[in-house]
Amino acid sequence: MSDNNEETGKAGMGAKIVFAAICTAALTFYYFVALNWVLMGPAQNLAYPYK
Amino acid sequence: MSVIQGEKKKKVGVLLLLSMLGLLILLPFAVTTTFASGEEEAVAEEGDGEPKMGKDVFYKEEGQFGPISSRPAPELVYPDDYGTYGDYQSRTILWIANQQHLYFGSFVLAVPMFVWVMELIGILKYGKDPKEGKKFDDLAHEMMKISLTAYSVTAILGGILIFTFLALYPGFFGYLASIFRPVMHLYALLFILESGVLYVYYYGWDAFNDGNGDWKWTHLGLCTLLNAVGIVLMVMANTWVSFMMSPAGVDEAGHFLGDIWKVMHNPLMVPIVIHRILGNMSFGGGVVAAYAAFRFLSATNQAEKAHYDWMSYIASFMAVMFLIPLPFAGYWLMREIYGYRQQMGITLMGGLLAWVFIMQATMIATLFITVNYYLMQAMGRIPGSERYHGAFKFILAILVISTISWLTPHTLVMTPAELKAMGGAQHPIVGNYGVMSAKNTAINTMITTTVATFLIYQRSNFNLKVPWAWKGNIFLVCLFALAELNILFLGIYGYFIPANVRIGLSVPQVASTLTCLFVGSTINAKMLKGAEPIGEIRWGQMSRRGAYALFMLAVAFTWTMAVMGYLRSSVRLHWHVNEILRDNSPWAFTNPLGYAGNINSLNVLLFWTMLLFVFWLASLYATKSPLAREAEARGEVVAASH
Repeated sequence: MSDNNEETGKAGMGAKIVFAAICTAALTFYYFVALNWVLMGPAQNLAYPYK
Repeated sequence: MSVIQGEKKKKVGVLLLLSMLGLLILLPFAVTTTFASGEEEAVAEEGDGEPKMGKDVFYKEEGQFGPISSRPAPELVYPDDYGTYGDYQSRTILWIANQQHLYFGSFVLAVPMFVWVMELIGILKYGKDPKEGKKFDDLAHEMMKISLTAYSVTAILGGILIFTFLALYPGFFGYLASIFRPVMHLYALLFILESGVLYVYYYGWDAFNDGNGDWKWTHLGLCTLLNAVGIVLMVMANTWVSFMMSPAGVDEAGHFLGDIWKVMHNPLMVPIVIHRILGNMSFGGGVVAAYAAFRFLSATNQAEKAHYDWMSYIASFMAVMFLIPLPFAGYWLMREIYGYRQQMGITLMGGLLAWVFIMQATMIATLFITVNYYLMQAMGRIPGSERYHGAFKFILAILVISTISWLTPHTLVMTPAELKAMGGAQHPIVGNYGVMSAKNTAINTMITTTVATFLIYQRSNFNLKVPWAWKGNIFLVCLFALAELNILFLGIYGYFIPANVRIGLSVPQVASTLTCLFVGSTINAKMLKGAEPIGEIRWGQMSRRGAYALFMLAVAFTWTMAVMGYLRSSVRLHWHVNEILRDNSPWAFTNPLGYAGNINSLNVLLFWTMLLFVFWLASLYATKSPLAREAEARGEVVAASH
């Protein structure tokens, strides 16, 4: 972070990108966990519909 | 005055023609109703009072019983019920006749679907940019031209197929005809309708062409009708095939129980139809792309080269669009096969025919690698794509690793000494990759990677201008990386849980891939809004390797269709109609892999030889007479000869 940013108290572009990347990664991670959670159960029932 | 009268006459003529076609549509339904009512009467007359009832082999509870409406399935005897040509396997002759008809049939049914899309784009674009609209319209017209010659070949091959059935398998064909009698003529009549619409559609191209006005829309309506009839034809033919695999609407002895819809709507009908429609579309796109590549390579001037380069891109885009969902439809079909008869599923994937799946894996992996390779070569003509060239080697590495993992067999064919040295049929390390957990992971990885390559292709020519571009990029990277991690995690997790739980993992794996496809391409398209092109795309400057890749793609499609068709047909083992009509010919055994591979290759070779003839005819048609060339050089407009 440059001196200028320290003076103004504003985050630089680099910090913003890192922050956004972490947040997006976390949210996408939650999405895939939910996807696994929701789909795994019904998928097993789908697999043997005729038993 | 005479011009207005001419216009009027033209409109009246077209309306008459359309009403004639409409009547033709109604005709088959009238015929079927007559057939159906005749049948009911026949049944009612047979008995003294109530007709004899039979128990359906598939349908349970309500509708389980139906009136016996035909003779039982015959017990076929060799040689009385089978025809032969010397000592040659009749089955192989029928196999070739069937496969060739199917190839051409698939092609001529798929092309009008693309043509519909191209013509629609042409009409919509015409208002804003007539030049661009005409470009798409010409493309649709050209695609149709190839299809028209192929249509005649399809009809001839259909005739050959029928004669082969009658000459070599009269007993079997007689039984099938007795079951499908109510719809067999409907099929034939629909063919007349299909031909009628096709010819009016093709030959009326210029007559209906008023840019994007009423007549152009009517012309597009004809294409809709053409596709509607084409799809019905395909569905009907597929019901015969699926009935042979999973019969319904008949009792154990093979009596028809009076309800043709139950026979047609057998347990495997819907997944086979869906899988085949998607497969046809991919195959059709691949063949048109190969045609464009052929014309690209043989083009003599830059304008022609540019046109066919563009055409090959559009056709291959269509092929890829339908290739991506194809494995999922295949997976669904397999699931239904397991549901219908578990043993059938095991014969396919874990038993006698499992090695054919290894061949299939090799072919589909080839398809995906070729698609990626083509996109990479095609990016050579896009200014700005240099930014992404560094990623190509990593993409190829991922694809190759996935391919190797996918085509690893579960067990190997070995000599006793080799078996002993390895300590069993399964290799201690490599054997771990021969299970569905690894294979599902591999194919999902390949599809996700192909989607990523495609997104790169789409944006390679642009500098993004939306203010949130950097956020979009972060999102796309996270989406693809985490989707891949999830696919890998589910694949590895599958090794630690029992099989009945493991089978459920494939669905979230597929859902991860589909998320990348739909969400990824939507975000990417939004990011490209208002983007600034880095330079003009140099159409016509694609490398020759790219054009050859398209040939590879089309041939791989053809071979995959051959091998999977063989697989689907072989799973009936010694049955003509599964568990109903036994195959008592000397060829009721499953072929060795080598023999099947050779016949498949012969089929591919035959198809491509005929297709090259069709391509050549199309290029011959495009050749202008010396007079027309001279007139064009003088700048005169020459009336189209077609």
